[in-house]
Amino acid sequence: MKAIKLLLTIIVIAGLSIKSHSQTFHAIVFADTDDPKIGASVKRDMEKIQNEIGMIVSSTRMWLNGYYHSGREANKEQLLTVLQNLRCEPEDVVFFYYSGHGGRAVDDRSKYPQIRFKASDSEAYPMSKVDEVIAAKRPKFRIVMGDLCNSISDYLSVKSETGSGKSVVENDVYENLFKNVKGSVLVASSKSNETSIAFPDGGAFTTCFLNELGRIVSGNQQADWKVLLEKTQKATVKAANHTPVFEVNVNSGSSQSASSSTPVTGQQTNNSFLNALINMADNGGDRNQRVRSVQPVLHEYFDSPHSIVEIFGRDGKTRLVRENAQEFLERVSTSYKLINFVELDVKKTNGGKITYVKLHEIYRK
Amino acid sequence: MTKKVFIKTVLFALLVSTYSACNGQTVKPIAKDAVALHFGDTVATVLASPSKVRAYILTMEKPTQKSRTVGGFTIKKNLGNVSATAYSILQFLLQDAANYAPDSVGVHKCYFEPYLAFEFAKGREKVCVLLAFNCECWGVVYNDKRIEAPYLCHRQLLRFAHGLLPDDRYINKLLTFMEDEK
Repeated sequence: MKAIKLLLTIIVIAGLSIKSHSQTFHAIVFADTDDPKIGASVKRDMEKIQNEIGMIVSSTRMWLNGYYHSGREANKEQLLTVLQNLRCEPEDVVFFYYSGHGGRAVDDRSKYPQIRFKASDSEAYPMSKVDEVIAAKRPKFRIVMGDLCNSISDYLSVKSETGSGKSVVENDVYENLFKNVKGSVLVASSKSNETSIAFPDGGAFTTCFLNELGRIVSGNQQADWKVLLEKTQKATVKAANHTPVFEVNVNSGSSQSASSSTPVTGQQTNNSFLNALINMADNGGDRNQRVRSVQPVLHEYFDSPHSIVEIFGRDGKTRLVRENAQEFLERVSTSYKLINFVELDVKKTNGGKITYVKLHEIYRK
Repeated sequence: MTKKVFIKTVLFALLVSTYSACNGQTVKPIAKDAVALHFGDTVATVLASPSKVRAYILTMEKPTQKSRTVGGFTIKKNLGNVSATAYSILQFLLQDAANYAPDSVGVHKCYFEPYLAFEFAKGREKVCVLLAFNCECWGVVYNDKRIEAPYLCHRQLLRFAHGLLPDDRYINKLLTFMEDEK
């Protein structure tokens, strides 16, 4: 009997851990946050983009596979590894984003620049090649986006290879832009022979893009990639005098959200800590179970009840709350409408226990 | 007119003209040279009146045992002495404060990869001016210390470079793009 119970438990746990969603949102983010000139601005880009990804998956209820690489991890070898190991189902969405240095060779034909992880020519990798590799994986929809210079360097060679506050999700706009579409979007922050500008609070293009996206979301306007990128282009020219270039090859699916009667919930990710928080938050779980999970989660993931948790707003720089791990988990376990989290920064002991974590919280409307 | 009357008239005229000149106006300080402001007084002095100026095409390859460097970068080609007529254009552009981008313009997301270097020499002092067209920045190296600054005179600098190197492939490519954008 005991053996049967144990077997059943294992089957249930295995079943729970198997993705039961039909779509995965693969978010591949590379950010050159260590660069002495632009690193601080790029770090802001990464925080803002991570927050936006949190909003997207919360709204669309897609499973999130996040591949976030910054600092030393933002290098060509890591990029090639991630792209090589990327596995897509036909209904999946892939979102690739890069913020850092860029450039083009004198004889480059593509209108999109090369990503330059380091000053060395051998560390450069064409954006168009990233698009090509992802396209070969056959996701339903892909976005390849870069905030980087597109100016001509004599040194580069042609490569043959190729919110300050809380986030509140709405269904329809994100669904129509990221889920109910098929095809591709390719966009770079400047046209041939142009540099791209980094402001202290982030890249000009990234900031303009997220602002325009935010306007569509908050106004619940008709979502359209071409319109969104045209507005972004106009805003970027005005703000920083460089012109983003883009190609939109998108077939929209139904504009009716199939989920209008289904509550928005936090979605599982490939981050077990975030999954634990999502399960503890207001996602339809039993209230008593949520409260009972505080201590196990505390012991599993945190170094001590006094480990620090800081909650930041959608802009990634406005600190809303600073509390210890115990207080944080107790608050989450009894929260209302809190559905999802974005992990912006984490510090751990050698044993992998969290001593500090910086989060952004996402709420249901 | 008696001598006394003449002297009084002159003094009165002086008094009136001085009063007119000073009335409601403060004395304006002499503006500091843009080069001095951004790169220091010694650099400004050397750039203003060099005894000799040499030019080089640079490469971003790391220097080998055989290669020479200037301003910290490897020399691809030594262009020799530059005439005063030629380098005066560069002096003019450097000295104009309007050619320096204000901080509010932000930082360019590209590496500083100078294509041309100009070594200004005055006595024992040497100052190297670097032109990085790929990121629209110029840099000055003095005493092994480099200061970079984004510029706002890209077209003028390209034309200056084209004057020195009319057949250069890279310069011509950049100019072609500029002309296409007009």
